[in-house]
Amino acid sequence: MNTTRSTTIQTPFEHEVAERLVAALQLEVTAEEIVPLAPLFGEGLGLDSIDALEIALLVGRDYGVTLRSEDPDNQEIFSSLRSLCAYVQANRTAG
Amino acid sequence: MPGTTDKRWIVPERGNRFAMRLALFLTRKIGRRRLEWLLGPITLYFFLHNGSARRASRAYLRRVLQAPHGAVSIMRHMRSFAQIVLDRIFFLQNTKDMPPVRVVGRDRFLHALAAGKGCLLLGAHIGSFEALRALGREHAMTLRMLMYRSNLGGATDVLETLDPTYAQTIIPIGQVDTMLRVAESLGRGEIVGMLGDRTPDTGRCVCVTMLGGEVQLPEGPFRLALATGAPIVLVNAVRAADGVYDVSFDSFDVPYPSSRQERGAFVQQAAEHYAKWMEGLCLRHPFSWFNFYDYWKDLP
Repeated sequence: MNTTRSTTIQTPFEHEVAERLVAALQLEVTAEEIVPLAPLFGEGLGLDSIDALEIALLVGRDYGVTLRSEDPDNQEIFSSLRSLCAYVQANRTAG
Repeated sequence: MPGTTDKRWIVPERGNRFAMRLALFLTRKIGRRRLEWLLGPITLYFFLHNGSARRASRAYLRRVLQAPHGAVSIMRHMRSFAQIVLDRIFFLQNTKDMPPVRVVGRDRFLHALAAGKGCLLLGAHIGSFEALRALGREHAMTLRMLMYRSNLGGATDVLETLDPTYAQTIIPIGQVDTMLRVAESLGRGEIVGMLGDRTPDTGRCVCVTMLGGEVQLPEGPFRLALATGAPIVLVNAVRAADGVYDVSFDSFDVPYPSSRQERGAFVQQAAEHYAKWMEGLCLRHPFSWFNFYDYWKDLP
């Protein structure tokens, strides 16, 4: 774990995921504009629960990571680009 | 895009715990048909005490009946709602005293289910969605309702005591993983019901024309259909004059797009199709529409 990561600059993996999110969710921002620690839902990017489902489908398809509704950490996993990527990297089996 | 703020309907359901408990007691002691004499006084009470519902009813009836309507029509509209609420108690209790149900278009529903992707049953606040539960039991199918549970107030808590499995059959809206639950449920071949005629305060909306005026509808049901690939079947259960609930399934004839770029256009088209369907129901059953708030923003 790199503890000196910037709070505003995306890691290469975060950038890759951000690009896929922008494409899949047809966001009106560019991948670069997604701040790693900014909230994805509600106030931040304004995503909703259907977007969360799209994200779950995307990480399942592209990284082989299954997100489940009964996971008590969902609130945390979906809280920001960084937390989502951290979860995917820790659990990925493919890609 | 975050949608418009619309908090008009997100208020606790009218009716408190005491009234519900009393109603329960009466339903068990007296029975359904003999309780109907109560609907008159209840209707009169709401007519006199709920000015905003009265005005909303008048505004709606003017649109659907295309003529000004007075107190008698408004009371008929409110009585029809009181009847549905009463019958709902019996549907939930699942006893022999349940109102009878007739099914129209069952094949459309079974055909959609046969694709193996579950089914999204899309209804509206027209008639009674509760009548579907009777059907679910009959077919031994799992029917879950996607709804705002936290906003329903005391009445629903008491209704839950009638049917202990009620809570498990609800997927509450408002959590980040709500739709993940829906997708998992559909993945098991289950049926997920929802009502698509009221807009949430934070959700994305689409503007369509219905009964000669513009209304906002949530995009949610149609985006959900795209995300899950599950077929939509339209459903309503209107209480006929003979007291039987006509559960009626209509196919949803808007094809799902193959590319993401066409999704926006699909959502618009789907919402228009849905609004047309509601409009047809309102014209056929004008007193079975139960959105007692300023739906068209007609009122000052």
